[in-house]
Amino acid sequence: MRILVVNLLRIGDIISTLPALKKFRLDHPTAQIDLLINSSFAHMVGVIGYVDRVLLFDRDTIQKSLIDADRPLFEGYDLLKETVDGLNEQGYDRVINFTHNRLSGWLCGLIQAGDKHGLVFDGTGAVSFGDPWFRFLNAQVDIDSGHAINHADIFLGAAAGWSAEPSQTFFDSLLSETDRGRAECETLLRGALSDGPRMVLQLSTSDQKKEWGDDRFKALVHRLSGHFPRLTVFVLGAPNEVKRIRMFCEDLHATDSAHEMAIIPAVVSLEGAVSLLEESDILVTGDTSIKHLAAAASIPVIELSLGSADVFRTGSWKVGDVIVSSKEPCAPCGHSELCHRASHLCAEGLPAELISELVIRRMQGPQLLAREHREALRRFARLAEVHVVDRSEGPAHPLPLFAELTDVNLASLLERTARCISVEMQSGRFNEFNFGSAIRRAAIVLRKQFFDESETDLRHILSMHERELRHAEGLLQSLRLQIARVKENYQDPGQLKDVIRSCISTQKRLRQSAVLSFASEALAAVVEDDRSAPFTRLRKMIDAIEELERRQMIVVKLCRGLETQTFDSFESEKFEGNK
Amino acid sequence: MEHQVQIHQAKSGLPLLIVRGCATASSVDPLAEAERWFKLIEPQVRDLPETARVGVLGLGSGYHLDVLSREVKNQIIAFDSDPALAAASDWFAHRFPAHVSLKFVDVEAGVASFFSADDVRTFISNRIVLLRHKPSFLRDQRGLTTVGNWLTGRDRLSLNTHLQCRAEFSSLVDCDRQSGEWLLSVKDLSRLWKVEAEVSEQRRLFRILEELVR
Repeated sequence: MRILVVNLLRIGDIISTLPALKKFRLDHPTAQIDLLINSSFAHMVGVIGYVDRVLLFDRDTIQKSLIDADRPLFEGYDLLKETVDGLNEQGYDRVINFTHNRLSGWLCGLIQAGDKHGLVFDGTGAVSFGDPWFRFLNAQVDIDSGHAINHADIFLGAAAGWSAEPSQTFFDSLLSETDRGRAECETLLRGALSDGPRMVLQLSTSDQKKEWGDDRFKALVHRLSGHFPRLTVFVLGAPNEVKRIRMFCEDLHATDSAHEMAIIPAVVSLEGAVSLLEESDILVTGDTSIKHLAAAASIPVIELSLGSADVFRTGSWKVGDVIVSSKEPCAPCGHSELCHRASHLCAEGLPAELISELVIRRMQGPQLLAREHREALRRFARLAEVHVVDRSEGPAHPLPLFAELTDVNLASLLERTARCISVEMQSGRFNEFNFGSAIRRAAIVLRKQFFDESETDLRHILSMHERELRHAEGLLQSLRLQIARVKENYQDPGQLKDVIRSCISTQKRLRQSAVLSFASEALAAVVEDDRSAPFTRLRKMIDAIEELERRQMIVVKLCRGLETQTFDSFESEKFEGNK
Repeated sequence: MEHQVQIHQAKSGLPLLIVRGCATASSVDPLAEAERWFKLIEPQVRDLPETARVGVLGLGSGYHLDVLSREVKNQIIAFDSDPALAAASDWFAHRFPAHVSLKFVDVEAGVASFFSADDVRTFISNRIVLLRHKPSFLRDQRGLTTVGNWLTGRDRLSLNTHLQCRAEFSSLVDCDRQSGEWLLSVKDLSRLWKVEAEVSEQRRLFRILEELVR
């Protein structure tokens, strides 16, 4: 079998594909698996395993030929055609598109293969997804961040599904080391202190909004030097950051505490960074490609999720990793938005004291969700959101360290679980017999998130939740009946208007309950769609209601199942992690 | 040779052409200049398929063509529009290997005349890479720019010809939809497709190009 995997996005997105690539390789040990990436990331080839070849899409050259008025108009076309013809000569049986943008959709539509997954446009422009997880990825654009599933897990879901019991070791060390990377790392390690911990810092990000600030990083190192007397700090960066890194290291050297530490500028290649991460004990970073590399490596990560960084969609996805974000109401902001605040409040809201506590505790072990750590860190609860990545249910779930048991928090947790199960049901990988293990795993997560609550309180809130869902069930049922009556006369604008009015009314009533507001999101999309033809619009409404009813059925089952669980049997000491 | 063209000796000892008092290559070391030129354009001609053709705008004193023909084995056509150089064509005779040909263009005769030549039509019916010899542009900016525009196919008249020479496009695009003499971009081309062309491979490839310039 010949498989082509397409990922034409950036480093982090390519790294997010690694678990799926590993799964493909395990499932198809003798298949020819090729990965197509942008040529500007050719330097990643050495660290990507599980594939036979990494092919390069020369996006930059094609783009230049289009923009430059001195180049023939057809030069880009000819280059692109050669690329597509070259891919078609390989005779792929399956194409999987993990890129999820229009360019890749059109490209994958032109590659001949019997089986295509991911966003694909056919000749008429009709879109197909091939797997419910890719359809979910498309729909996730409109989902509230707290319910979103990490992209790495969506890709893995498309590759293998999430119904089977997840293996924790599956995600260990997904990157390959190279001789060059090893050599660069060994040069750096010569400067390290032999009997102390090694910390890696990544100061810069691609977007200034995501930066924590060099002064805060220096304050962090000062604090940690008091706790770890023989600390080695590697300050990572690219060649164009040499000046900044040197200044940072010199400033640290000039302080009193520096004589017991080793502070080493680490301007290395991507391969060198991979090796260095594997040899170090902890990484502190913003939302960067280094963060993504570390998520795929064994090193624990403290991620500073600032600016437009999204904790749930693209945060670190390794068990035990910690993601810290601001409580500022504007966070996370839009990707291309300029910060309109007087100062960088989301960075200012994360004090070095908090980060140093997290580093110290995380280096003791992965059980940051344990009671002792949560109580010690509780004084920071008003300043920041701290999430710890957990995989008890399968997909990475950043569990909040300081969550209170409220109906909204419970609804959010159950909604997330229900979305995953719903997608698995649509893919045919989840049936009635799987509910038992799903409930058991949800119970573990429930106990981890609300560790301080009594069983009685948990059962009570679950039963209240079920009651609210029954109310929503009635609303959705009456809406569905109304749509069924209109089906025959969908061309009648008057009848269609009535249905839309009913949708709006149902949406308002659902929004009145904090617990049911998630359902109103799906209806908002169909209400606001005034471009689709009447039949298409009706079809979308039916699909939205079917999806809501399916999720609601799942949540009701989860609630009932959880009410019968014994929560006290899941102790926080049993929480496992990578290191 | 016409008195407009003279042969001088560069400091390195190599001969070079002077046209209307203007040097057509470096008067210090034209061969070193040609090597530097090749280094700049090398990414454009690296790994070309056999069928691709290379067009060079400007003959200069021919040293850049010496270097190019040594490194690239694809068909090369060198275009120049300076009547003085056309008159001095003997200077270039038997100089280059068989895969290099020279084309003197009379821009005053117009685009239709240019595209009526078989060698030009054959040239543009393949994948082409177009290279500019900057010193030549200093000598004949207007003429070479005109030839360049015709060869890039970015104005309405030349686009028509380019499309006619590519059999796979001739029935898919209606150039008459584009009014005026504006230079075309990929986005402009998106308006010229016929309805029946929408599902064609060519149209789908252009959709990808449109995404790249979005």
